[in-house]
Amino acid sequence: MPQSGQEMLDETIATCKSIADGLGIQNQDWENSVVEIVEKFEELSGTFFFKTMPSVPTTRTAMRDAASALELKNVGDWDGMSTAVETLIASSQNLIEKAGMKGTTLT
Amino acid sequence: MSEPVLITGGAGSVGRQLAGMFLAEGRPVRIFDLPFMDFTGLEGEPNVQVVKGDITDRESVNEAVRNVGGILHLAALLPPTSERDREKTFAVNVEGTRGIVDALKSQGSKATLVFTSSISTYGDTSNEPEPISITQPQNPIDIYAESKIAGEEILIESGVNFVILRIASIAVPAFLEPPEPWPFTSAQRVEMVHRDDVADAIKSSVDTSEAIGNVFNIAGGSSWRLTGKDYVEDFFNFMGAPVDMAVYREEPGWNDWYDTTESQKILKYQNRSYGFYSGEMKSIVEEMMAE
Repeated sequence: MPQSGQEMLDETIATCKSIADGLGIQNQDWENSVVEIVEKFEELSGTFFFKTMPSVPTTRTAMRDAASALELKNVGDWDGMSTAVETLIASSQNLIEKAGMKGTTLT
Repeated sequence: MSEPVLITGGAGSVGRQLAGMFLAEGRPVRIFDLPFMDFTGLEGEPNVQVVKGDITDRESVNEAVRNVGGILHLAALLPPTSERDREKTFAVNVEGTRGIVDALKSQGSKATLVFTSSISTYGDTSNEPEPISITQPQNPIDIYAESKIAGEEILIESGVNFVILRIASIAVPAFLEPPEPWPFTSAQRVEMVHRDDVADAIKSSVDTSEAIGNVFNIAGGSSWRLTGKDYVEDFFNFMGAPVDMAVYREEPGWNDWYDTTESQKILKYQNRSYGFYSGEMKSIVEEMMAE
């Protein structure tokens, strides 16, 4: 069974936590950015958006970007890390905006 | 009509939509809303006047009403905000309406005042034969509906030119979070109305002299007549979300099927069927999936 948006978000949060762990030794700004992403994702976790199909493509992109960044961290590729963090910030921002759904209007 | 159409609560989404409809016809609008609202795209635009003020402040209201060709009175506290403070809700929804009426009378204006009321004023009609007509006794089950009934009474007794629209639940073609609970039971009769049909009905009310002095039900028409379960299942299917997440009211709420024969005959606003809305929702979701 394919992963749901919520499952992908959970995986992304876990990956981002691994990225952030000790990243400040190399670059404090990177760590701050990733910690902020984790905080925002944890706020959004469990919301209706992540139970819907349209959450899947955007969450999958953020999940893959997080996985790529973690891979670079694990091999110590700090030259590639700057771009990877920027890419992760962009896809996370896109996901946060999409997940910020408005409520249904009923009079 | 060279005088502007006043839209109270005009900086909100429905107000902006209506303003756009008048402006597209080259007709001036006057937007009245609270000073802290975002007036971007309105202020300084050709044919748009902006009056910043509070609907409960008589001076602001007098200024807003001066020399208008018609009034679309949208400003109101809506649920759930309306349910938190009865006094405040009545100050805005009832006394605000009285302020507009008094301003029209003191200025000797013949402008038509369109009042956006609600089918929630009927309360629970689940044991009544459908469709629910405007002669159905009003039996409010929340503060909002009480305030709308009081607003209607002010207009009916006022002697000003008015149109009262009792608007059904509005279906917005957008990717939106569902209410929890839905304001009806799964078996309840539900007839919503497309957001753009509501805008058409409001605009038509101020443009159609035959509408003056009438109370209308505004709902989607026969294609929108569903049960709560049918509507909600479709909604969750559009969203690709598990339908067992849906939470319904335990007791019937104020949704039903409505007699809109007269409103459709005079206002000609039912332009978007439920099938049309379903197509819009599917397209929105497909677009998101393609990203």
